[in-house]
Amino acid sequence: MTTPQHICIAGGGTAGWMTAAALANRLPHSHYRITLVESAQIGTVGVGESTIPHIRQFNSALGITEEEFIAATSATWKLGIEFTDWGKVGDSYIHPFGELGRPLAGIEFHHLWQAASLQGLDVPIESFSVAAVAARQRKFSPPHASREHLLSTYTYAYHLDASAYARFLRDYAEQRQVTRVEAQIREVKRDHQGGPITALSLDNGQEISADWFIDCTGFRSLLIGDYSQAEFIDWSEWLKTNRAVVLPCEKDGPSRPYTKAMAREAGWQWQIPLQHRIGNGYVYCSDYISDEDAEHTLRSTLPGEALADARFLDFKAGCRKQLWVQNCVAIGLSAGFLEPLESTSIFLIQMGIAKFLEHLPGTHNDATRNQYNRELTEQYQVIRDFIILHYYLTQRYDTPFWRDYQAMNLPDSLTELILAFRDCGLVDKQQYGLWPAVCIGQRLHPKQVDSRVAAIPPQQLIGMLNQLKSDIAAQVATLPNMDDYLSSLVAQTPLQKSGMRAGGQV
Amino acid sequence: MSKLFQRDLFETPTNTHGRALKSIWVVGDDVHGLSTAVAFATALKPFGIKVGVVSLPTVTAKQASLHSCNGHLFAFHRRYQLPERAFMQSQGVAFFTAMSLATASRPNKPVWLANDTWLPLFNGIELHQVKRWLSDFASVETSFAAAAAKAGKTVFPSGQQGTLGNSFELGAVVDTEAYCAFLTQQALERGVTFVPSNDIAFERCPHSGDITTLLLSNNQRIQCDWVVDATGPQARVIGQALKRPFESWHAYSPISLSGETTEQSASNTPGIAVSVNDTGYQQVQYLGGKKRTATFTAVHSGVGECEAGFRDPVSHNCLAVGPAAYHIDVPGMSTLHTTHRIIERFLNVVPCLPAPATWGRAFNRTTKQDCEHLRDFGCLLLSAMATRQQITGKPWQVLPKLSESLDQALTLFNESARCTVPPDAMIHRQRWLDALALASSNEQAFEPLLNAVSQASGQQFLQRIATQIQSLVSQC
Repeated sequence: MTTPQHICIAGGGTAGWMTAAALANRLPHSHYRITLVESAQIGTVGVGESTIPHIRQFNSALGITEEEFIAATSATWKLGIEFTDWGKVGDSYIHPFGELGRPLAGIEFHHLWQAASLQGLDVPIESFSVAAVAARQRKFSPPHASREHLLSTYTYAYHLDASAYARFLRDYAEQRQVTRVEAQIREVKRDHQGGPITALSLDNGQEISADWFIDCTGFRSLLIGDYSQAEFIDWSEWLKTNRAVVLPCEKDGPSRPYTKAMAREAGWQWQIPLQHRIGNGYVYCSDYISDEDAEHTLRSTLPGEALADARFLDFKAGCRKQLWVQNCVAIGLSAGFLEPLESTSIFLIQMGIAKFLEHLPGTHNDATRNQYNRELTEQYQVIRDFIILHYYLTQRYDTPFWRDYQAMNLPDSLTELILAFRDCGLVDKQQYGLWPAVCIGQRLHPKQVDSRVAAIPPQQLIGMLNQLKSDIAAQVATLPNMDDYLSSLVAQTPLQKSGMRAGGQV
Repeated sequence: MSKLFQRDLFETPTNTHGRALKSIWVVGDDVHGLSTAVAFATALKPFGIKVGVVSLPTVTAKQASLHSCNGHLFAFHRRYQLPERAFMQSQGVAFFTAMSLATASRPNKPVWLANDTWLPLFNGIELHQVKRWLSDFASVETSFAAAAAKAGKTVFPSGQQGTLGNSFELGAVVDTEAYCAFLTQQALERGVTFVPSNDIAFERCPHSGDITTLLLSNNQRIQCDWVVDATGPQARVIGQALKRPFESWHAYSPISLSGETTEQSASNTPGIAVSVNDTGYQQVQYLGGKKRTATFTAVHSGVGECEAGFRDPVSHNCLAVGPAAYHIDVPGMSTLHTTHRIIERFLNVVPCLPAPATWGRAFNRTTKQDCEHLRDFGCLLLSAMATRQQITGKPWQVLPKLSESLDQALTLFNESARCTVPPDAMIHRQRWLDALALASSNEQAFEPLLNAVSQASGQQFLQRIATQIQSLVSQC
């Protein structure tokens, strides 16, 4: 046994408490001491009310059951994202979580669908996704366990109250010996300029020394921001939006098990349904629309009565060149920012935590740190490209914002992927398996279809697809409405019974 | 990278395919070409795509006489419905679960590199970390595959997930000639056409440069949509006709096959034995009552057709497999693994045939990554072997150079005994861990989490596994 290590997390919020909970769960208390410094006077952004399925792995690793999580965070289930008005005004498609159709003898489904469509089939591709069909009908049930079953071909994520999630994880972490210090950071003390951090001086006079510091201070980047190696790489050349106006509202009826992402004049608007309210926001570029107009657009399209004043956020798309410098690791918004179009904010926090634990520092860390930085920056770039894809695949000419996007130069990495799909529908399923739904949803069809499809008689092909569509519809019809499923689940949950329900405040 | 014009994106497709794929011809019937022909015939014939092979005697004569394969061989057989029973009865196969590696400094105490695919975790920490941490227990045998090989026993995976009896993949050494005969029979049964020719020439489209016609020595002309180049190091199509350059990897793999011998042997020792000497290494395998010895020599410069290297496998309407595109000698491994992956990858891009302008770049890049993965693994083993040979005072003439990514991986391992190779990598992560440990210069590094655990519990963990393995081996 060697001397216990002290890890100090600067900042609460979603990133801070996710980090604290994960570290407390994984690291032996005998050898690792964890302190989290946060101040109630500093608001949190509350990122990531919409998630992707990976969050389930995070909760599962922490031993958090779905029932307690749903009750504590006012969460609803999410089967995908509906994009409206992206390809053209009036368009709508769902990017579903799970499979899109079924391949046949090695031929990817989107080829079969396109060939059948060219031969007369008039059915949108999302009709071949269980997740999308269920989402449209507001139905939900966990996937079937048997892989042979059609109802096993989807997965799911959550819409959640991020502040409630942070509070829930705070309880979890504090029960596992994480020390919470309520204070503001006055000074970050370093060994020397550019050297390792030695301590944080707090406004209550306390000074916290630690071996490792995790920067979860959000956009302020109080710890990592001073390192020259952690220079911020600006991606606003490709992702132009830089402001958001946020405004929760009352529910408008039965919950939708999907996020809505609606393209607007100078950006896009989200709707995220929770159990007790709907989260709304308009992400826009301030060069193309004023704050007043953005707020007006948001207010005029709210599905229910507003529940609070509008809140404005500033941001810039990008990622730090190095996310781990010396003994400081940035996780969450201090590491980088990508707009939440594909609900990846919590995922990126999760990746930062997972990689930190995978590369847990020891005595010597140069190679470890380099590897962490390589893996994380690559992850940010992959997501960046996927988000740019949505903006680029548009035929909207109605506003300067959208016209300017069409003249943009893409990153080479993305150009190659788009060309591969356009020319022949090729997708690297390992990394980009979600692409066909987005590409086809935004009217990018492969110029050529797999020539093997020609060996299938057209009527047989159309018949096969119609049969699959019917089978999916029949199976989805057996699923309960999400609200009914939610009621039955919440009714069984001790947290709900004891009144420990989140969502009391926005 | 070509500029993408947004206005060109949204053209409505008008038909299913501009130029349908109707025939694929494999030029050369070496083991790579025959594997390709069998796989394509299985996957594409139901769609009316014809597969043919042009047999060139000069190509088959130059094949390596043995190929050492791992689980990929059996996965290939399953995927393309090759009958395992017929394969095993073909008299050209011997199984193994580990490779021994003996150095001149310790000739009787070889290191064993097992075909492990999974080993138990200790509090979520990998087993090799525990052995490094408890250095006194480093010699405790925790690999069933290695233990069985040391005991001279051939074992097969139990098929029961999560058990030590299923913690490895079976390796097979195949006799090239016998395996080619097996593949030829399978190809014929799948309707593959074989056409012999003493030589071959090509006609190309003046506009696209594509190969349009194969010209055989008997003046026969064969129209083709796609050509597979399996002509070995001569690379008759991809190299000579289409002029794709060959990138030498001699610096990373300064090894050349300098001879092969075969002698009758009563021994039927399972496994592959590598012994390092002052000129290079020898690889010994027993198969079909014969002892086969391949001698590899470390040399200063690349030697013609045996030179390690890579060439883009896709150009125009040609796909190259085997030494026509990649040649890498790795102890205990064969580039057949790369060929199996290329076949799989190619079948994924069949939708895009015949025009590879878009996908070819990605295809070539991914294949190169595969080959670099194999090369780096071999380089790591060679580097470890060369370092050990240096101790004897009779070092090799030339040492392998580490690529940047390999250098990063080794530095990381030296620092924390961690490995970033993912579990689904081409060469299994467990084998990388063995190779990294062999090449590592720091035996003290281990996972810092272990500092928080009692050594006694770690010792009990290792002992428990060792006991289970002893029991399993004794039952074999």
